[in-house]
Amino acid sequence: MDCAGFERELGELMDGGAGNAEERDLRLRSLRSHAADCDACAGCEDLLRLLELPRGQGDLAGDPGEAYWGSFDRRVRERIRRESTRARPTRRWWIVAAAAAVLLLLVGTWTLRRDAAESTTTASAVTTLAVELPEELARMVETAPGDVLVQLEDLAGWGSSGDAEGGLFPDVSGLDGEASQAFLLWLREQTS
Amino acid sequence: METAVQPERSGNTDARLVERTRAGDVRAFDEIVARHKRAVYSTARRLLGSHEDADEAAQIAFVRAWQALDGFRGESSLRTWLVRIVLNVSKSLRARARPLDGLEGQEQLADTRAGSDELLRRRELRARVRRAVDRLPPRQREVVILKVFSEMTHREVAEILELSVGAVKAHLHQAVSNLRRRMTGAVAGGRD
Repeated sequence: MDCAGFERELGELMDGGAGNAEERDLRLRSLRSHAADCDACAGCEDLLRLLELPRGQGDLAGDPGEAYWGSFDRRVRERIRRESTRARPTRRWWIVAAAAAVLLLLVGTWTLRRDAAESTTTASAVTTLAVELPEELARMVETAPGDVLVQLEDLAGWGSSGDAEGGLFPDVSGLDGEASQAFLLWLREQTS
Repeated sequence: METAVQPERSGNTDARLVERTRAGDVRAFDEIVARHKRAVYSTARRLLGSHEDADEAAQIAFVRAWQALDGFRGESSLRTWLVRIVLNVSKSLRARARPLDGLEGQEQLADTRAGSDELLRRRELRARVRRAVDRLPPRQREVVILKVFSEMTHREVAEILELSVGAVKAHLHQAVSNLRRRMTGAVAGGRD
């Protein structure tokens, strides 16, 4: 047997293609004989000896013993519980998607309602401010850009007229100072 | 779960256990662990060397399997799927671990307890072969460990490594050639 033949037969042996146990033993003996006489293949003697050992004894993985196996399952279970406090991901992903869609819808509706309520509050502030701080408001309105005036009219329901004598500042009761201040701040932002 | 469940007694196939686990039956997953823990641990041990690393890899692999069980489509066997998971986990652990230090300590401790010259010789033999296998390129090393030492079929190895059967055979052929050269080189330079 030459070195190429040695390598080929060793490969077949490692590949499990050496036939039955008897044929395998014969091939191992032949390979060991070559390795013993060949410097280029001598290093494989260890591998051959390992392959020669009965099943299990030549395994690179040692057996950790029954005490280890006895606790293994429990430790896996505890680790799963520890690392997965939430439920195991389920195939019913569409339930999660549907829940997310409903949540989105609720949030959207709530936001729209809140915006509408804020507009109402602002409109109320416009009308009350007219009584509380008429001079300052009038001055700011005079200097405000046209688009801000349009917004003011829309908010307060004043119609399209910007004429003070036409009732720009309606007389309303129940003044709310906090709302008025809030409106002033908003107006300053718009006109600055 | 401490008492290992015998597959032949439980009457459940792996496919049935997977279905039961998906349906929320925790005990079914316990049975999966009991059935496959040795294959999963041994693969990790062969790849990583030390018992501690192999234990960690096996535990992580089962946690990941539990989390990803819905993604298991049954195209390969459950064992093949689990070995693929532990292979990937082991590669991750190996990438950030020291090379092979744990093996010597572990096996030395075990053999000292055993107090047997024969066991000591086997330990040294395994360590030398392991060192040679460990120096192979990653793919070749994985093929040798799965095909030769885990005694898997070409098809199983191909599924685990996501290679063709032909590629598995080619890697094994190259691995044998490399092993012969490296082990001989180790002998020439003094056995390490």
